[in-house]
Amino acid sequence: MSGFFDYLIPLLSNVGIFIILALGLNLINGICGQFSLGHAGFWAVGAYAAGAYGLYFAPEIPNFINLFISCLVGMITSALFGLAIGIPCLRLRGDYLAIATLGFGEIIRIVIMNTDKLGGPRGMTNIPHWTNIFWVYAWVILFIFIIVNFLKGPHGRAMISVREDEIASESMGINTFKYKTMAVVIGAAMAGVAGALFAHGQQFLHPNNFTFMWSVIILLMIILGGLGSVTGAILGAIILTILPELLRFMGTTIAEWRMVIYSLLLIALMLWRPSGILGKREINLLGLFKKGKT
Amino acid sequence: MSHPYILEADQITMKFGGLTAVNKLSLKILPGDLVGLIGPNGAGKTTAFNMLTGIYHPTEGEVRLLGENISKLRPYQITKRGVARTFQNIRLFKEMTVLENLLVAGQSTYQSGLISSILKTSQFKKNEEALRNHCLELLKIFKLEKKSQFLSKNLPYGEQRRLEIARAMATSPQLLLLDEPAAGMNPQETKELTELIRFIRNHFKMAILLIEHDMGLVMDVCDRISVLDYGELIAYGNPKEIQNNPKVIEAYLGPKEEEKDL
Ligand SMILES: Nc1ncnc2c1ncn2[C@@H]1O[C@H](COP(=O)(O)OP(=O)(O)O)[C@@H](O)[C@H]1O
Ligand SMILES: [Mg+2]
Repeated sequence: MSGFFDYLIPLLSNVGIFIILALGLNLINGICGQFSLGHAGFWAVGAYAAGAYGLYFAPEIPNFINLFISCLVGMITSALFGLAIGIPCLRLRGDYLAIATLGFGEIIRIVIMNTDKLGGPRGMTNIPHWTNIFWVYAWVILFIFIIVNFLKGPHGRAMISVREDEIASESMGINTFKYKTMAVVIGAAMAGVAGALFAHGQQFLHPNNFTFMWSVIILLMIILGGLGSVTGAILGAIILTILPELLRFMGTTIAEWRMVIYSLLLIALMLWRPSGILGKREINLLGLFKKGKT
Repeated sequence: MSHPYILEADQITMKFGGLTAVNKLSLKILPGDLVGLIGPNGAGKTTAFNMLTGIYHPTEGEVRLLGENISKLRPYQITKRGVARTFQNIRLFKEMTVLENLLVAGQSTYQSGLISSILKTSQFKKNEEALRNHCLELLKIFKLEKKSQFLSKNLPYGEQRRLEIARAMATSPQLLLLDEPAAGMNPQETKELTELIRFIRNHFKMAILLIEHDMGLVMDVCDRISVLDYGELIAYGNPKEIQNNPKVIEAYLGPKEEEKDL
């Protein structure tokens, strides 16, 4: 029985980390309508920044405080990268962001690979183990709370209007550049926290943990759940984190066919539910998404 | 120093590569004015609107709003200074409700900070309430209040046109620019629109610049009319003068027979 929990708890931790990643990318791609292809890059930046804090800077204080500081370090570092990529790309209309984030995701891996302090190609080892499932889900709940309230307020509406029609939005007095940048920075910041939680859970980071394939998988999560839907992103993250584990139970051959199975899943989705499982709708547990009185 | 004109376009020109879409156009709009901007298809009317609202920056010339040069400002900055517009091809926020379309447009008048909106402070709630009431009142005026919770893409065409005007009005403008609001409407809808435009102008005491193909509508509501042809202003005057202006007739009906032979 305890063996089962030893297996289950890290899996559920991973689910939480991917929920944070999917929620952040959903803000950029689904809610603001900007196409980012480098989410694994922001995740990597957060993970390595947190790892470096844990290895080189952390004082002797209780673990949970160190974890909190480390999450902030990951969050701020990733947010700054988001800002640096967002500002030049988002001034213009068009798909510059997709190209830049795609490049960023690859460049950041190569930079880490060649930085000795970060472990280079050997990976970063001996990162302190501070993450536990409680803190993962504390962050998950905090981010859900922030995003849900954000979306119900004026700034969330403004961000959605950018997705709906950028020219009309700008012509209605919305500073579209500000909201696009905000989406990328917040999305990156969330990926940074996910990175920190990941780093202090795994205790080992390698650049190949953060390949382009992971950006695609996070993108798949939000497309599967329904681009723009918060509960959809959560659902997508749960399904695509648990599915490979289920496939593993079915034997190694099937597990090796994982990407093929994903592709088939995606094709099936495009045929039957082109806008994802939930579309833009929300599952209304707890009345969380109830629209205000009108 | 006071500025008699709300909006002044001073010799504005827009070039797209080799094509001069608008050439040295000048327009002056007084508070409370209802001015028409007409001309054949491709004459440069929409391009002129795009320059007035900051979507394009004029290649030459200057646009002034109450004396301030706004030629280099971004559209949202111009909207915040009191110029609102509709689009020739309807551009609603399709996946948002009718009310939300207005809330987006109205919110720069009722600003709430990012943090206070996430924490839902009492100040934020007060702001949201005021914004909501402002928008619901407009929906009533535009007879859309029963549809406030519909997704805007689900409205019939005529109501989508009306919603676009209501949304523009939610920004609390001093000047409203309407780009072919009657396009695609049947005669009954056009008649109602004519009344609506008159009503807006009288009720809100605001200036309107109207691009329209429906001559009946233009001649009916406009105080003065500017006529564009191939990017140039070819005539300016009251409806009567415009109707009898030979240059205008030529622009719309083509050159007279004798001239064609030459
Ligand atoms: N963004 C653009 N790029 C190139 N040419 C344009 C652009 N916008 C408009 N034009 C051209 O400018 C001319 C005027 O167009 P427009 O202002 O839309 O005319 P109108 O609204 O009077 O029908 C047309 O010849 C059109 O093809
Ligand atoms: Mg036009």
